[in-house]
Amino acid sequence: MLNSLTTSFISRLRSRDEGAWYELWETFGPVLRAQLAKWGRGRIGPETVRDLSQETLAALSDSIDRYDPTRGARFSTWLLAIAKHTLGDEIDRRSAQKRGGNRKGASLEESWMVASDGPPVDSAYEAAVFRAKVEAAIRLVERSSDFTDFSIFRMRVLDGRSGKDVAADVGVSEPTVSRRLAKVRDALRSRLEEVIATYSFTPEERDEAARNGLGANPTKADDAMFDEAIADIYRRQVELRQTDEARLAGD
Amino acid sequence: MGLSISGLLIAAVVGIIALVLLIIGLIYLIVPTFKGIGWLFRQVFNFIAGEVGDAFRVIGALLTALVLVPVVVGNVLIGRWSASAHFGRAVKSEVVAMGRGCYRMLVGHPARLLCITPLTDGFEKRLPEVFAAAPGADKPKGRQRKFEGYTIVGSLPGGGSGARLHVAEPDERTLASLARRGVTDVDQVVIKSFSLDDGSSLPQIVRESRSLDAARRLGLILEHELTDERFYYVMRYVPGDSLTLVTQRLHATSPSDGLGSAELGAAISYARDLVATLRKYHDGGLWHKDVKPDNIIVAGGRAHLVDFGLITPLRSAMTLTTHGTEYFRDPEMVRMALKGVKVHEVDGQRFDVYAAGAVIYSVLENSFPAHGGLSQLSRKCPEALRWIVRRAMTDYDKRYASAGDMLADLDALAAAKDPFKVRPAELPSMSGAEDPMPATPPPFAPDPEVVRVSERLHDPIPAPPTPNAPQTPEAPKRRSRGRGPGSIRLTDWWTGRYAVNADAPVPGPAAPGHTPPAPDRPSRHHRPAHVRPVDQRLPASEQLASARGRAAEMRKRAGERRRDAGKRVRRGRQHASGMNAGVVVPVLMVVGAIGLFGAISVFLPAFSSTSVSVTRSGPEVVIEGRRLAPASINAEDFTVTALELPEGSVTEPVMRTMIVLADGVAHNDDALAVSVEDYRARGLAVVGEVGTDLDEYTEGALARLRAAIGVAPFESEDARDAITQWVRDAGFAGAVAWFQRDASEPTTVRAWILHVDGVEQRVDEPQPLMIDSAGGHMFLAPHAAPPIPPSMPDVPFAKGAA
Repeated sequence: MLNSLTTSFISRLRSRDEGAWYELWETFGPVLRAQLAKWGRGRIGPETVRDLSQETLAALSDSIDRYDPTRGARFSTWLLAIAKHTLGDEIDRRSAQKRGGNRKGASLEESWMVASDGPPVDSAYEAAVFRAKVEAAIRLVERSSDFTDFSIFRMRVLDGRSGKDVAADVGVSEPTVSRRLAKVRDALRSRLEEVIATYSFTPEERDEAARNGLGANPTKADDAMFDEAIADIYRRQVELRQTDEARLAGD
Repeated sequence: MGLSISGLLIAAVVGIIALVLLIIGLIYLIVPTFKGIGWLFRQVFNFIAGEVGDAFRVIGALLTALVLVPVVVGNVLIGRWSASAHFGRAVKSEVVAMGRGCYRMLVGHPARLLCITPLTDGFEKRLPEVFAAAPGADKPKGRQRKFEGYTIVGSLPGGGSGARLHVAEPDERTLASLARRGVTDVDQVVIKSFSLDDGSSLPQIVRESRSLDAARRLGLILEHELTDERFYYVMRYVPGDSLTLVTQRLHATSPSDGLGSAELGAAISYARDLVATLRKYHDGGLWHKDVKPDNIIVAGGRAHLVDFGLITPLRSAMTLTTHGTEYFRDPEMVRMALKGVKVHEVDGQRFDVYAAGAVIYSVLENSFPAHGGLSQLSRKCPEALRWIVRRAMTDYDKRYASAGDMLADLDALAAAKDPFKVRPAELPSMSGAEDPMPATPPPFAPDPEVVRVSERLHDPIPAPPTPNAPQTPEAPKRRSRGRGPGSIRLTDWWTGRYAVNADAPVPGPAAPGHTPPAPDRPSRHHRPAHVRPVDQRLPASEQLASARGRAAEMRKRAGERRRDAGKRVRRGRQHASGMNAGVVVPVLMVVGAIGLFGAISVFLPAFSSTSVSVTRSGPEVVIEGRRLAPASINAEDFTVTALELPEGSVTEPVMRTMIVLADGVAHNDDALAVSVEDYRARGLAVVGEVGTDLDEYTEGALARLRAAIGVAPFESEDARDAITQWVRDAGFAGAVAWFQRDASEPTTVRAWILHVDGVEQRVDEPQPLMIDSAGGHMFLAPHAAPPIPPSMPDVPFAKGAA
């Protein structure tokens, strides 16, 4: 059963809230582009990847009204199925054009709504979707935190600098750095829970954070692990964005 | 026994370990080997598949083009021009596809097979980019591309707005007009033109023209025109390179881990220029909205912000749009635009501040901030600068409230001896130091240059964009923009005489919140009406004379303005539309190549000679020359080049003499006889061992020649040197032909000819038999190698084989 956050988000999508669609695009656009580029390698160029990722969201927009949350699809599978369909449609269209025939593109099936019994989809893709959720949470924390507090978190956790250096740069004591860091960390844990809940359709998806060392109720010893996990995810997301940027730039 | 068992056990264990290690080692060796083999197969397979696929594509494109060509011609013949143009485009695309296919077959796939793609990257990537970004024609044609008062001298690459950018020089009349308005030092201008004919759309034209009024307030626009068909405006030309290009250069001269100290200083300086310009815009109530490296021109060490296409008044009532450039546009702005927020409901300054942060990021990283505000600054840079960039690109509510705040931080950084030692805590925005630039902009006070321009543009500078700004006490006393018609006072009831009181000001409506300053002089359209009473008017003749005098005075002043404009010192041609090294060198190379070719054609007529074919029957002569490979030539298909002498050539009859040496070849041998006949038919005097009587002098000379050759074998270096020396010494022979029967192939006769240039007395290399004479001079055609028939055997020709 969907939680209230997810239901609310789906409702926003259904009511054609452009902000919700932009949020979806901003958060998962690079992941979709990476997956489409992987599938279509050698057959579609970067421009087509960009177009297809937009078409994926357009297709999602068309099908959102028919979405049935009781049928058990994962959020990531939901996105992926739409993307796969969009890509397949494009490939079919191209093949039809090459042959000169009048074959129409495949119609959108709703099989993605059903929980699959087969092996999980590409684990790299699943990990990328999870990282995108974490990144969205970091962005939300940046918005809600004080700039200096978030800068301390950024320098200490994302840049990996020592507490002493950070304290000297910001002009505060080391205990203050630790205190402010803890404040942002707590906010991030809370946001993470919220974001993962929003973009998760199944209980199994909602447990991803705990499985990845980002649980909501950690001990003191877990803080270091949490920071490390966040830093690692951030670095991977930066790499993904850079790859995406290079792909779009045609490199 | 126990020892032996334990020894066996140890040996077994060691053996097993060794075996395991061996297997692991083999796996480590075999796996990469098989991977390598697999890669090799894949490469070859891809190559073959690519070649075959492209071959079919080329053939398909060729066939399609062949089908389309008659269609194009047919449409032209029946006058269906549009259809013919349509099919013509299709032919063009097929030809392009064919060319691409050929390129891939000949270059692309082989390069990929050999892993030398970096070699072809220039053709496949950089070249198309360069061509795509190339400016248009320097002298655009067509009525739509002429601009009265300006001479187009070049063009710039257009941006994404569909506009055409021309570089132009104002003529003297325009210069005088600009000078009258206080705009001086304008050597060249940029004309941004939107035309429906050029593909611009009406929304683009409307958007650009809407921003015009705002830009004009800052003196950014010199002139503009809007007609039914086009819209254009004129602005100053800022020569230089875009910040994108400058950034690449900065990184090219810096270490790989970040900008060097000099480059970092330049980067901070550009950042300051940019933010200072933005502050000026914001103080003027404007929002640039399209700040990005491509819109920043670096010239003379300063960064100039250009392109006013998206400039928007900060207090505009328009709905916010998502226009801008990705990576340099705040995502928050997109969210707000999607919500339908109005421009005046947001703080546009903060979006420009975000873009400025993104620009600084791109300069430091030589890349786009693909991660938005979370983009990582991975290269070495001062922590304080990193802080400034993050502060500029952070969330909308938390970033610098104004460009002035950001500029204060940048100033602090620039003032430091070592930017790396500046800590973020020491920046003005962090330390709480008094901001030298007040966050709240003062009442609009543009720089004097802007004021001067704006005053002359009949556009009074507006007051600060605060709707409820109180009126200054002086305001009511100031003259209004418009004046009333003046009051009429009747002076004589009986005669109807009246007087006009033109000095009485009639207050006009003032824009709310605006305090228009008193103009220095009334504009032409609103000049006070100086109407004299009838009784005070001068006679008509005097009025006419006075009018003529005024007209003459005006003409004189106009002439002076034009002369002044002409006398002013030009700062040199700024737009590089003329010659530069990149243009001159290739042009000179082409001209040089043409000249060289022409000279060779003139001085070496062999290149332009006509060919005559000499077909001989009977026994053939195998002619050999050092430059021929294979060494055997079938004389049956031999082509002799008829040469044309250049005019004025020195002609010496003696040089027409050919000396013939014959070793083992009888004078009546067919090979020798036919050749001698051939030489004589060409006007040469053939003497030597050809069966004719020799005079004493010639006989002595031949004896000396034979003595010089001695026993040197045929075509040896020694023989050649000896003959060369003899020819020089003798001074009367044009060439020596040495015939010899091949010892290993008795049926074969070889000939070797050594030629002397009669004009320069230069001994040439031994040449193949390309011989003729003209004007008393004998020539060899050194470059006209005879065609070798495909069936030509590699062995010397056997006599009678043909």
